Amino acid sequence: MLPGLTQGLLLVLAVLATLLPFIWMGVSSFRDPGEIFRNAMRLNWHSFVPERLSLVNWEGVMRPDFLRPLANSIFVTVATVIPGVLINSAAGFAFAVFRFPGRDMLFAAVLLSFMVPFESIVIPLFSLVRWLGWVDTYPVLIVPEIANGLVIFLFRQFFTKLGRELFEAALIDGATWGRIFWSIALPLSWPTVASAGLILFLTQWDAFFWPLVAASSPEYTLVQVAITRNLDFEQTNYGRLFSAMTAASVVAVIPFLLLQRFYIRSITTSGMK
Amino acid sequence: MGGGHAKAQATQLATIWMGWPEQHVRPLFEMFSQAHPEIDPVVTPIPFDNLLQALEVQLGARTPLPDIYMADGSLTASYAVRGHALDLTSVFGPEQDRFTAAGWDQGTWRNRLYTAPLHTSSPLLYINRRLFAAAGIDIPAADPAQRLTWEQTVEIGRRLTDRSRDTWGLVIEQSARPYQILPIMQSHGATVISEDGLSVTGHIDSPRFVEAAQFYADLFNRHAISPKGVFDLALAREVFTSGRAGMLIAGTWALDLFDRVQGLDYVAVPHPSFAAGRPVTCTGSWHIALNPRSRNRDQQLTLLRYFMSPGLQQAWFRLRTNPPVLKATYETMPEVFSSPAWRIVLHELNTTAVPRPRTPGFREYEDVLHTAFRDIQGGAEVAPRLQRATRDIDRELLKYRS
Amino acid sequence: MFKAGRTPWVFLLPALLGLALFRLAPIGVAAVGSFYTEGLTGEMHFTGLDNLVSVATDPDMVAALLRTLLFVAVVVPLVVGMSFALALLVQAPTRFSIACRTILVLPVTMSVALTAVLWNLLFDPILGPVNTVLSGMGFERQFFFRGADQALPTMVALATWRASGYWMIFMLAGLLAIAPDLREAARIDGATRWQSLRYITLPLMTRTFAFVAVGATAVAFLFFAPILVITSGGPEARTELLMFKAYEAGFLRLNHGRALAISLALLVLVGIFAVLELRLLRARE
Repeated sequence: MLPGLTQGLLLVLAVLATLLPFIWMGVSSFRDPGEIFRNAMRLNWHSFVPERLSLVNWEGVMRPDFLRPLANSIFVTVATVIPGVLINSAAGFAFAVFRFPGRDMLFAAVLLSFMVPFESIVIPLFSLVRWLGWVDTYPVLIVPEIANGLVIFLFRQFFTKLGRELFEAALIDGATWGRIFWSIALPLSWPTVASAGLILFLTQWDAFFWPLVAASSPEYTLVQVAITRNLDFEQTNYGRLFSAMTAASVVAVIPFLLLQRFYIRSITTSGMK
Repeated sequence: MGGGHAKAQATQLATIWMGWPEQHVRPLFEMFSQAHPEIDPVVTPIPFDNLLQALEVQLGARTPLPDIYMADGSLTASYAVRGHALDLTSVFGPEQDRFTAAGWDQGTWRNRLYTAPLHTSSPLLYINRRLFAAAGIDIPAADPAQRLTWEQTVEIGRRLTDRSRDTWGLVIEQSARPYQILPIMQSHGATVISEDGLSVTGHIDSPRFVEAAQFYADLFNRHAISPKGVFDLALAREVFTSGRAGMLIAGTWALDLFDRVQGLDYVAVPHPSFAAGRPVTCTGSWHIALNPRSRNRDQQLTLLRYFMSPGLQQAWFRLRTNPPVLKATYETMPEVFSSPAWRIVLHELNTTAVPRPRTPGFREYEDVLHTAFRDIQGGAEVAPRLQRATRDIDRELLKYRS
Repeated sequence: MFKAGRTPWVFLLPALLGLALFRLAPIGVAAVGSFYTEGLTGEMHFTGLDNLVSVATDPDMVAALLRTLLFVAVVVPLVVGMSFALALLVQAPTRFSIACRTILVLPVTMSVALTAVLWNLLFDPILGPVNTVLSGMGFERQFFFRGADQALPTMVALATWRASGYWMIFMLAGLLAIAPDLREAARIDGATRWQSLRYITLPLMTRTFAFVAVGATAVAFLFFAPILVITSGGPEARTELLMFKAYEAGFLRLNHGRALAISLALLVLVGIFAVLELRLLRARE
């Protein structure tokens, strides 16, 4: 592979390319509303540093019409991630471990479920949740998003790596399949469990179109919808937009930081192929 | 927003509103809640870019939701022919003369009223006095009879444009939207759609339309007095307020915004027109529509009547200074409407304003033409691009022929 | 593979029920809808293959199809390569690596639509900071999203920027599942790091690559929000991708039958690509 110095340099480049837009957005959120684009035409010192540090854009972030959506989003993501990891990992386990009639057809259906353009199914989906009486409630934001084809696919890929000898040994010891799944398969795949949780978390955190359509009265507004409300057709306030976007991104990396402890090599690696 | 949800016995009305800032929306519904505690509007403000798509999903599912929604006036026919808007003729017909003619007109389709107007709009030409003075150019007259011609505007624009200092002559706020662009073609004598609103062949590909579109293209290319590709309204205004453009065409909402910009010395004058043509200005209004499938007909009507009352409409004008649609609002606030800028606006609304084309296919029409104007602004060859737009629009309008 | 009677169904039932109700049933409705034309007031007329035929014979759609294939062919290898490279670079459990990982996932914490709003400002021809820096350093200002030749490449950059860090997470999970003793053994046997990567790591990563490739392919085919927000398919149709055309037909041109026909075609396309990728990356056992 490449020498350590080159590796470090490449990494720093990638990190900078990722970070610069956020830095610009973050810095702009501390500018006076009239100043955001003032230094955009001519490159000068103030193109990078605000002329005057202003907190006026951040006042909007501290108000209930942003904090409430933020709390809603946290609640909705947690309520999705926990059951989501459980039921999708179980399904992924079944696809990876068992032979049963119709398995390939079902798996194809699972793949289809995340390949479909959401915009093409949104009208029938809205009719369905309306019929269920769920419009403008928490369930409409949570329940349809728990089962996730991509997460099932992820678990199937990783559970397939676990050797069958492992399961055979456990069966001989008299373990049930439920026990094997819960005490052997899941603990052997912490990084996968964490990644699955992240897929579900980010899907819900980024959710925009569905919450907008199905539950966007102030009581149930989610964070991305709340941020977008700063885009007023006639009088867009970019400072407000930037502070809200920055706040939402900072909150969203917290779970990722917490999950870091699961990104370690499994100790019981001998079971891996 | 609206009045809390504690009132268990109040009837909830699912209300989809345009995404104006909360402080502009909440007071109106608070007024309503005080007058009608028995009705609880659950208000969902949705930003313009997402409003129409969210409505398409909810209305497209053909359920009783939402009870009330905000409609761009030019979509009245679209909602009417698709059965998404309740016929309001019998409700407001007897009071028709309370409304300005243009406001009423935009809520109608085939002489029936389907959406009730909330406010309308009108453009002004904003002038940066400092840049004009620096270039030694006289400030254009405020008298609509002496409005700038497009030819003069280009000439002045040339003198103001200095590419080495990134300064432009003219910025158009909605630089590719038919709303602010069609008046150029209409001032040159072009028609923009057939009488029945179901075909554009012979209209947007006509020689008159093509010539005017060439003039539009030249603003960005041959004369290069306008910056290409500024499609965002806020950025377009930013180019003006930061002193990088001498002239800006924008709606009346900019008056409020510009008054708050420190150090901006501006004046508003009438929108230009062609020397040999007639003056035309754009106008478009926001309306309120009722879902005919709603199960709360009485409450829907109560809310709508309240929003058409003089008291509420005055309060709305104070929150957001858009041209009103009730004659009473003008009469009760003479001090406001006698300012120079508002005198121009009143003149335009009464004599030169032309609403966007009336067609059930306005959404399609607008989308196709918007993309075409973007391309033409970018330098695409005008006549073939408009022929393509003509073909695309007519294909979409077919579904409304029956 | 084990046979275990009803047991698999117990594991499958909750997830499949959710998928069937909230994804597969609406897909069924949408698929059926592509054979109908909706009348103005909602009445459905069976028109068979009319929608599909009119889509397939429209030269604009053929161009959009070819452009979409090009977009996917560029974006997917870029994203798969970048995400794997990044995972290799941050796999060590140091504080610096963890900080880098965190930064690299930042882009996916913003919705696609807001990413588009941000990029639209960053690359604005007049007021965007990228052009400020370019012109400040003496380069020509660039049109980026507004330039006929630059618009699609800038979209590719946006898609790659957003997706690489995301898929890196799964590459990382894959790398961490490889027993360290295997690479240790290879090192003791005198294998270079390249050889270890080529003969130990890569073969053990095929399932992860399959997952990332299929996922990234689906995302690339369905990419459209930035096009809607920034370019509306322009300039001169250079960013008209199939998914944008589907959205345009349904929501901007109010032609649902046509929108569903394009969506159905997209679904079939993604499916074909997924099957090919899964075949190609089948673990050799």
